[in-house]
Amino acid sequence: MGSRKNSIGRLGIILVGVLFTMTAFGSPVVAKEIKIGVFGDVTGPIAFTGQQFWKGYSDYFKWIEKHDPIPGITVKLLMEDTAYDPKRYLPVLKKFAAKGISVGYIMGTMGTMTMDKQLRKLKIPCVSEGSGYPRALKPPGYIFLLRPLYPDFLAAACIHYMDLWKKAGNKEKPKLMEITWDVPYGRGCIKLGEPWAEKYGFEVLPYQLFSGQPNDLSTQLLRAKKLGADLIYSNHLEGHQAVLLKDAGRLGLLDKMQFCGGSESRGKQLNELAGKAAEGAWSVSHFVDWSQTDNKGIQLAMDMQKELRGGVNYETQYIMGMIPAMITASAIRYAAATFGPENVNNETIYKALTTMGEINMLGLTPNVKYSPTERRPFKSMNISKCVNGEWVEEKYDIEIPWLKP
Amino acid sequence: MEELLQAIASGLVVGSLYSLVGVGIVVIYKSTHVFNFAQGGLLMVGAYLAWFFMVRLGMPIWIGLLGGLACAVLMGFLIERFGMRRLVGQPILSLIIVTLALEALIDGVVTLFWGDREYNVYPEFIPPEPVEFLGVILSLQHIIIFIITMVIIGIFILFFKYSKWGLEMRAVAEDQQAAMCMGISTKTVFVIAWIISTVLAYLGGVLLGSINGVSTTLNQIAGNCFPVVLLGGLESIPGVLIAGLIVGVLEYISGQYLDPIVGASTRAVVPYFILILVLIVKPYGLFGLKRIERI
Repeated sequence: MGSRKNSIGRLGIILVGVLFTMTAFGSPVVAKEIKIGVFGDVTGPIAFTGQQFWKGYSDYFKWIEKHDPIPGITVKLLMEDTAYDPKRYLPVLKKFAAKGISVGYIMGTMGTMTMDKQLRKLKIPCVSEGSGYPRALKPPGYIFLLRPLYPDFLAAACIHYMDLWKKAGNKEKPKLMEITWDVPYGRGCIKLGEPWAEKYGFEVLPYQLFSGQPNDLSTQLLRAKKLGADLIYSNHLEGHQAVLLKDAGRLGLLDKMQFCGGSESRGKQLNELAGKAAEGAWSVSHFVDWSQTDNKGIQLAMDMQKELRGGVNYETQYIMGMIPAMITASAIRYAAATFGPENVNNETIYKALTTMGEINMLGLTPNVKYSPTERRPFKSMNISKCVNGEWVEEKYDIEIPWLKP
Repeated sequence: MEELLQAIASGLVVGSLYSLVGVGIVVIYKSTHVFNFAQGGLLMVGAYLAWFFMVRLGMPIWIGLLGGLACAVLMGFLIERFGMRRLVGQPILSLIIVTLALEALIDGVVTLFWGDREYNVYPEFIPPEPVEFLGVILSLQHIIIFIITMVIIGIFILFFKYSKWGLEMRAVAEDQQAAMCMGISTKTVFVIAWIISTVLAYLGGVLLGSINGVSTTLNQIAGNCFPVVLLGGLESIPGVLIAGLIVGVLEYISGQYLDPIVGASTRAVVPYFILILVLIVKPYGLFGLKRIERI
């Protein structure tokens, strides 16, 4: 009997101890897990770009988990290879939806076009690189673009070129020609951008398309020469731009025309491929160059790579991968703070993205701001120029008009 | 006129590359009756192998190229010995499907190991300086690539016509049973065919990589080579040479003159359009053998 009393007494002491501990240190809180679905175009035609996106994206989440975690939230990244293949996106979306993702990241126009309708139905917000798909904006749905539309990029190039043209005292209209990749991404500027350029004062020459990986773009360049093009704009990748610039150099056109590409038409690999022909080329982008070492965003990118990868690899797409991660993490953080960590889900993240106001991008891009009626993040663009093998500022913060789809 | 000449010159250069890749497909088909859909992948892996030896391992250019060549030979041997040989006697469709699987496998493996960089660049071993002739401007790189390609294809034409192995391969292609009765080892012939094919793919990869850089998109060229092979008649090396040049030139001429009218890139469509037209008139291709079975 006595030993039984002792046992009950001991149990009571233990229980009291446990209760005391819980009261003293707070009850154990289990952080809510938020799943993010990444539609990774890490194989297929944009594999190399997609892989860099993924590195920048995943590194950023690893970094904040260690240095600046979101209170009450743990983030789990789910990545599936979608290979820039329209057949793959919807099955992956279905899989992600079944796993309960709250937010997603799409790496290109192809995925954006394919999933826009379904994402509206499922109400899953996704940040997207798909700036070649203006219909995502009209009416605004669950796609949040990471940069203005590609025609806006073209507009930035036209605005800066026209400034220089006028300063040089030219009276006639400058002639614009697009030589670009025959895919939705490459064609992304034509429909909206060219009519705008015409109104802005350019004579717009017939655009020239090429398919696949070009080996020789002489025919397109000879037509540009024949028609007297002044500004050549291209929305394609570094390898395409390298062939274009090398062929232009061979045909003696580099001094006669200004070549300008989008944000994927620059970087150290373009310089390696095109060599001297890259000198003087422009690239329009929404982010700053690696050469801006005093920029806090670039410093963060360097720190992340040093810590997580043991050294800095100056790939422009790595920066581009960080941008969606920063936006998504900010939205989750805001949703957790506003609605409580337990209520963070697709709907509250959507609300956060549309109502939270400006997102501080540490200078990597202009601060991002979406609204219930707008899915483009900012109105400012940068132009970089290749000088002595480095991509440096040609003109930053060009105010663009936001062309209307 | 200047534009037309330029289009023809550029088309010949690119067409010669189509022919080179196409010959690799024809060699396999001639000996085994398998249409090798993995030729693009083999080309891509060949380009990466040369880059691996020259850049990653820092070997001198010519030693690096020889290292890549040795790997290509080994690859051809391994594919035949451990892949295709085990399927001898199976329906031909199974073998073709295996080449498709091989293409997917190569694509995945290359992406896994080397796909983290957009482009890889060789040290300059073919100078890109411009050369002007009759108003046509080509880079020295393109001219050298054209010459190398023509020489390689010429060597293979002579190989099949005069060498012992070449004649044995033709005999096996004609009738395997009869060739075996004559003491020809079909196994050896198949191995040689695959080695020749991987070596040609390697050479194509190196030449193409020297223009475009080495990337995971290099295998796309095979898409243009399949119609070239069919147009040439599937079994004819001179046929594939001529078909490659025709397709290359027509692609560039259509790019020059049709694109502005159509408002889109017609280059990707032209090879298939020509193929359909030719096959309607000559179902065996331009230089294919018309087989007659006597009953």
